[in-house]
Amino acid sequence: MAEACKTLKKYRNTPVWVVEDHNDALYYIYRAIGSHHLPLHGVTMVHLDSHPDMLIPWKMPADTVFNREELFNTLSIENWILPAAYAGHLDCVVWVKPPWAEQIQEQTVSFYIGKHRTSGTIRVSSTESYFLSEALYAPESQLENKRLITLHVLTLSESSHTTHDNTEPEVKRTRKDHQTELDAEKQDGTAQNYPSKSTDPLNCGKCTNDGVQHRFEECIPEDFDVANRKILIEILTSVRNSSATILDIDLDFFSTQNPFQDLFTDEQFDIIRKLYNFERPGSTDVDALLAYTEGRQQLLEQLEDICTDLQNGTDIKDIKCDSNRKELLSTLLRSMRETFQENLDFELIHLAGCTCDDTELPHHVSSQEEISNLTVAMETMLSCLPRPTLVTIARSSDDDYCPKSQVESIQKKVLECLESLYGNIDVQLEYLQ
Amino acid sequence: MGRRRKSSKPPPKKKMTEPLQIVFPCPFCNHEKSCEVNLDRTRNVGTVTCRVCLEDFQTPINYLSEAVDVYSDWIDACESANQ
Repeated sequence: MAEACKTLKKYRNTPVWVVEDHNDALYYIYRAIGSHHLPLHGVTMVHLDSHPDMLIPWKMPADTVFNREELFNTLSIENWILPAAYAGHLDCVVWVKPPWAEQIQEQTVSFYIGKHRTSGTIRVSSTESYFLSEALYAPESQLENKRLITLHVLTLSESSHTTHDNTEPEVKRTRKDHQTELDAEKQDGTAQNYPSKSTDPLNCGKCTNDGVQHRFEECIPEDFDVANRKILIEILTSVRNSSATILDIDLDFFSTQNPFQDLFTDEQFDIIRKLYNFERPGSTDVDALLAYTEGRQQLLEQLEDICTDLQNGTDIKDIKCDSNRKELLSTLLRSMRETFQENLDFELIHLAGCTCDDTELPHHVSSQEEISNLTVAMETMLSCLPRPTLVTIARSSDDDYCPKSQVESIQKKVLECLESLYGNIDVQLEYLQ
Repeated sequence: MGRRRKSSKPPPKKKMTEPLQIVFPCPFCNHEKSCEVNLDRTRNVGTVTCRVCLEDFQTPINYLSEAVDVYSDWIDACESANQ
């Protein structure tokens, strides 16, 4: 019987999967693992987005990650990355955020992800507010099947890159460089693992010996004025140690809206904020964090149940909760009935409440100039990183996170940028299917 | 807290849950739909066999592999043997 060799396969052209909802990107990543184009373990994901998308389906049993169909039925736009980390596929996530996204601050941090011994759900040992506010924290000692994952958070601003030669736009200049490179490849028959020989931090002459960090710094273009070069160097170090890289871009990275903002009045949103109020516990002591997590989980479950009951027609008088909360709910209900009359969607109110935190959902509709500058900054940053095995792009316009009026032009710019960086790309517009 | 969908969750897209193709044409005898794939999830081995000419091929799989991946490995192996 004939047998196959066990090495990873290579795509002829870098595939670029364009999806609408961001969680659909995971399907194509899993297909690449199943077809041996990506390794089963040790992959780094570079994730450009206005949102971290790093929550975890709250009630999902951890073992569901190994049942694809059930997993895809459970995942949503905010929680599709970490289940793949728990399954062992991703061990490093790089969240590249625009300046207006503040859900997690710039840093490099490692934490455990594992199966909670009591609940059997996936939890993390990180004490970031982003996880605490969702009651997703559990100390390392309460996790089994745990894995250490590294998260880098880097801010990329439109001023991260300054073009010295104002006579020629940067995108155009890079494309020309790439064409020269392609011509060279045709002549000597070699393929590049990096978009540009001059910026290859792993293989360039400067970076093959000791003092890697110092040499990585030398490999970052001088005119790349990223707010935190140290984090970029740490990212390059992680990438060096990973088996493969996935590039994942949400088009709302370039321009984003808070889709809940226009649905409710300021007064209504104030009440929702009070109902879902999150105050970070004062102590970092494990017992204090655990007590807080338990309380937070009870609150979120209670609010979810209340919204379900109200949706099913239960009268506010029959809702069981403390008097303060009931008063807030009654005021909210009166105001909402005036606005929405019979079309009140309590699930939507709960979803909006779940976005209220010590930080708001980012809202920054960019000008065309800002979008162009961010695209150039992205191209410069990506030129420091190795060519990804595959690229996933989420439009996020159905949910209004990326403005519908801008999504097409942003997509066009991003695809042009990828083509200039990686040459032949195989673009699949899956959202049209 | 993180972002949320603006509406109730839509049903999952058909493509995400729909099984992929499981029968294929044979690269040796060219019969249509004559090759069937067996995925041994316990041993992590995929086998494709042509029920007409009895040619077969085996390849390592993982829990995310599908029949089409085993068949693709076979076609790749044929191409590489022919080079």
